[in-house]
Amino acid sequence: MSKLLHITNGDGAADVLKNSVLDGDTLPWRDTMHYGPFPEGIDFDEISAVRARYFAGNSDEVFVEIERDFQLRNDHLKATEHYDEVVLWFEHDLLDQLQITQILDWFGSQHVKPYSLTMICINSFEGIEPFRGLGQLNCDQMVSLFSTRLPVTQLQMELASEIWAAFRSPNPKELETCQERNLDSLPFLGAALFRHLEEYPWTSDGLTRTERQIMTLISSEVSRPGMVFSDNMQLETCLFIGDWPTYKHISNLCNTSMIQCEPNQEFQYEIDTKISIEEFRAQRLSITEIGNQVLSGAINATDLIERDEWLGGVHLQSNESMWMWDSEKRKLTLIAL
Amino acid sequence: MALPLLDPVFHQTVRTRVSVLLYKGGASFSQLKAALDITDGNLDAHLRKLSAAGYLHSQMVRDGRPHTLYQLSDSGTKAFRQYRDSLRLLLKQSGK
Repeated sequence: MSKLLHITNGDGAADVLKNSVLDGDTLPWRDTMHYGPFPEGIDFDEISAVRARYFAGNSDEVFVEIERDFQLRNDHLKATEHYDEVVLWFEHDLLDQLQITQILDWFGSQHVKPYSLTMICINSFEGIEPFRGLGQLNCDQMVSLFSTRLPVTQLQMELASEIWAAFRSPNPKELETCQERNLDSLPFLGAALFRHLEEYPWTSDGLTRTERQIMTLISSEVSRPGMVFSDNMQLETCLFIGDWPTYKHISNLCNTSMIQCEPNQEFQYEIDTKISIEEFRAQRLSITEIGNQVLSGAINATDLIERDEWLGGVHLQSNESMWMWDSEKRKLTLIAL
Repeated sequence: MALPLLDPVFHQTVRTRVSVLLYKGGASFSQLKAALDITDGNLDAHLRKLSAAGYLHSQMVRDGRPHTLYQLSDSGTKAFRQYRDSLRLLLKQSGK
């Protein structure tokens, strides 16, 4: 019997696979790729340390835990020589498409490939409407996909490497330019990358698309953080954002004069470390007058948000010129602040 | 008489004990550390050996604060059973 490794987009799909009749080991690719730094010029393991620091914030204890998980994941990936076939299980959204590019870039850089590399990447499944991701499927449905896997082609590897390099570049124009090339071999990549570009602050109001969606929901009296997360999911054609990044956005917005949080202005979401689940659920969000003015287009939020964030290899900082998204021209532009 | 070979990934004093715990079910890093009474660095190194052989499976559990549970992967479970059988056979050959 051939020895299989299933690399999945997260724990949801990995857990379903592990409980199915399919043989093989599973390796969930845990990383919210679309937020936080992926600076160029450092290697695969060094990136993991940078990611761990980003997720852990100021907590050295959490940093050690996250870095350990990344390191163990990387060690397992490097063990692919022990397998006859590596199967990639992914879907169409931004998160997964970035995961695919990172993983295929890594495989492309390996000189010895004794294994077969195959991929399943879908944007729909019969009977699942709306299809959000592989985690919605049951064991039988996942198993039914197995026979549809296709060998990863050299063209896909080369495209992934090109996109991965552009994603990590400090100049986001490289990624924008990639949209103009032929992306057919990874057919969901173009839409995903476009959605990534929409996560830059927009020239029109200074908000990212996700920030605007969150503020619009709160202005329509969606006040519970959990509801903001679930309702925001409905505003995405290809869902990519999970609860943790959504709450991080809410927290950042509460640090501005646009969103209020009660009972404390500082929105807390680190459950069981800083706040109990009951206290988390008791928090209520509301929009301020200034927030309403931003949403109505009367004022631009650029001066209201202190930005220090990363999108791939691009560092967005409020005190420097900032790349922003011009939604009318559908292009990024560098704005002097 | 040919003596059975022992998988070197499992055949190390700390890793044998780690593997027994992981074979029995999922355990967190702190649970493993407490049960084995070893340092973080030591446990890290042995988990990495298991992972580099494809023998380790991790699962993110989200009851309250997210944390990772470790267990043997499918191939790790099969390999550990093989190791256990080989070890039994080897010891049996030592006679009375």
